[in-house]
Amino acid sequence: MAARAKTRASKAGAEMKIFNRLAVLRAERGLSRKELADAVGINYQTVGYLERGDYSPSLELALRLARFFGLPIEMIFSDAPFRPLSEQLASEPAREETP
Amino acid sequence: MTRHPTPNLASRRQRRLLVVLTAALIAALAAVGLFDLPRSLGVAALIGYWVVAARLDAAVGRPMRGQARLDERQRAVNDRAHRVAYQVMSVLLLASLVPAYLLDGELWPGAVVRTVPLLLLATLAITHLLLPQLILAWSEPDPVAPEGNESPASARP
Repeated sequence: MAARAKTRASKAGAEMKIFNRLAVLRAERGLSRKELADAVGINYQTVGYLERGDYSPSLELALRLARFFGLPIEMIFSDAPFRPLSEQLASEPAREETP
Repeated sequence: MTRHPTPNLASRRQRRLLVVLTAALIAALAAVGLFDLPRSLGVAALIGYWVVAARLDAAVGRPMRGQARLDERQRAVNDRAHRVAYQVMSVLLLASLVPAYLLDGELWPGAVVRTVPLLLLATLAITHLLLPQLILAWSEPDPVAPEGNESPASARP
């Protein structure tokens, strides 16, 4: 029984999709895939597959990427899809400009 | 930082075509061995095999080459390819024992050597060596550009 539950949990773990904001962050900083890949010690194809969602990173790689971008890991990776930036901005109350 | 070798990945479609070609050539070799077809057909299939194998090398690289310099994803896909290849080869090897058992009534290596044609054994050896590379060529997604200026959505095949 416990073994079956464990198998089910590990299956769910294997199928879990991890979403990320790597493409946006990379574009924001004007980096190529090759530059980002060299900075975190991976192949640029891997950066592309991460951006496409074809590959989920190990915790170690996720932490390396978070450190590189200087952001908390949960701002880059999530198990739920991120809301598009335009949608987030539209839902925020209009801020008054301070001189 | 560590340098990670990148084979000049062909598109998935091109790689899959190479896999189908290689599989056809291996099947032709096996057929020559099994049905005692003219040896010239076997030689032609072997020459074709070497040409296609060289193209496959250029398209995906060799899974075991430069293993220490691969990143975590490359190591993971290589490991998976070897795992699947091991399972497939186990089935193929066991299947090759069946004719020996049916023809000879014995199930020991000597019977296999007597009844399974040498060319078929060579085909099994070639398949064993090539299978991880074929699995990689079949399953790797389309490559991405190093510059990466296209959006992730447009990069998807």
